[in-house]
Amino acid sequence: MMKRFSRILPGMLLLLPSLAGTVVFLLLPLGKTIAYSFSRGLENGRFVGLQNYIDLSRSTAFRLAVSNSIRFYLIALPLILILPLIPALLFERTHRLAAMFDRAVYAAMLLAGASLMTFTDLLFAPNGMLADEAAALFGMDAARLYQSEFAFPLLILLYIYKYGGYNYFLYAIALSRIPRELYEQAHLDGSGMLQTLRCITLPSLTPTAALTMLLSVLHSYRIYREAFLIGGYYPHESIYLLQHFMSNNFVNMNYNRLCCVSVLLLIVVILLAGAVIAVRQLFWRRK
Amino acid sequence: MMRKICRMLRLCAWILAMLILLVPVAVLLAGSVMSEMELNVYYFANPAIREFRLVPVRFTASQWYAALIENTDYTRALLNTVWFAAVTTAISMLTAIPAAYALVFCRIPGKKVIAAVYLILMLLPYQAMEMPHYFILRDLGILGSDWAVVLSGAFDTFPVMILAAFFLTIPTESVEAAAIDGAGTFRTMVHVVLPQMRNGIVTVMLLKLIDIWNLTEQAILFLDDTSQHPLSVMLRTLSVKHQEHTFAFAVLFALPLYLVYRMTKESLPITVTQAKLK
Repeated sequence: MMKRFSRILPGMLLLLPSLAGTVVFLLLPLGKTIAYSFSRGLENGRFVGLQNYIDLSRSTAFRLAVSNSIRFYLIALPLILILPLIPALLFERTHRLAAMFDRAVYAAMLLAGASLMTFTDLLFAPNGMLADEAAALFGMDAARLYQSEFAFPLLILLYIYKYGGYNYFLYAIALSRIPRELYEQAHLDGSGMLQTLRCITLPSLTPTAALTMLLSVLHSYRIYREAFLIGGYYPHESIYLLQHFMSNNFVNMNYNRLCCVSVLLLIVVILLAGAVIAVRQLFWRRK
Repeated sequence: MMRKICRMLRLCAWILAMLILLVPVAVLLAGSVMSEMELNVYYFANPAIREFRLVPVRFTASQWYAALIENTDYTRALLNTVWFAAVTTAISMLTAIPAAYALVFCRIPGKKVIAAVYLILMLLPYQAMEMPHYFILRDLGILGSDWAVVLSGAFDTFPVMILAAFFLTIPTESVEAAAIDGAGTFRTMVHVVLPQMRNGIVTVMLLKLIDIWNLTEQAILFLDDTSQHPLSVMLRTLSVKHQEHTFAFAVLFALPLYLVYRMTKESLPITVTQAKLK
């Protein structure tokens, strides 16, 4: 018994600081949140069953936030997965061009969110350099561009500009790891460019694509930062995100309602994680 | 012939992509050394009489002087950002590195369950943790203080999971060999594994730093006073108030991140071309 304990002791000690932080700052309060989602009021709350959830599902603001998030994912995710692949494929074999391009991507990635917004303001804020053109294109008033339909495409643009670089690097690393001999062989066998792309390049990128997908989803959680800079606390309805809903309810102290949102998100994530693990196991077994 | 056209097209695509990436950087940099008068002519004037020009006629450091010394609101916000970023990243890395090591190399009861919980917490959007954070920070009595922002960001499990993925690439033989030679767990970690993992650790640290540098939600929700706010939240307000200093404000906010990148560049695995030339 003692021996077994001494064997797991070092590992436990190393894990302890992180585990303690996770339990105290994430898990325990998460439990509290789940409990509060079924009551009205906090410490002296009264149990109300699913009433909070029913109220939440009736809230038009919540519905708007959810449908906007889904719309954002449907449009932005394919774009941020495919667009960075293009330069990675094009510049892969040209060393000098690729080296300079890498540096430019870094510069763009490091341009902190708020600084990028300063540039965006130069273009699209009232009296901005391109405000009139963009307003004409979207049929809007140039002075209220941020509070119009234009906010949604702008949000997607900023998301791709800020986070596309990570995907580009992941793709470029994966491409550089494909053995050159494969391409030479294919060339000797007389396969064309499209055929090598379809049969060698793209299959080798599949594991990386899963990783970029994960990273892009994690980055999409941060998109509120840009949305907040575009529209403030009350943006145009096309970029009204879950975080706006939460901030506004937080200010109004609708805490129980927010607890429900937490629980719903937790359920979605657990289902997603389960699906990912299941798919992976399916793959492993086939190999 | 066909080849030549291909090469030309590729070069055009390259130039276009470079322009998209670098125009914001170039405009902000060039604007940061312009005088107020020139800025008015090139950027802020009425569209009818505006004449754009990228490079200033006369260079001046007045905007930088304002950002670094004169404007105490700006300097304070920048220092807040540095403080939040440094402390949060330090706590995060100091807990995540040993945890990732333990999860990969050590015997721990219930390891799979812990890993699964960490995975779920990593995937959980910040929005789901907002109420839990509020409860724990309130119970600890640190709501409204700097520590509310630091502690709500320090135990995010993303660094642990990414570091663990890096650690998995180390052959277990080297760890086992160290154990046979009589090295304890701590010595194996510090002397055998961490030196090999320098690049991975630097990468994760930089990712965390960039994340905290841009933090917004936590500051808006958990801080009372705008004097505590980091620059990521204050930059817009300050830029509107002092339009003549906008450019230097923006550049100086991104500059520290760029300097950290320069210092750690050698360790970043993503210098793709380096890998290819080897």
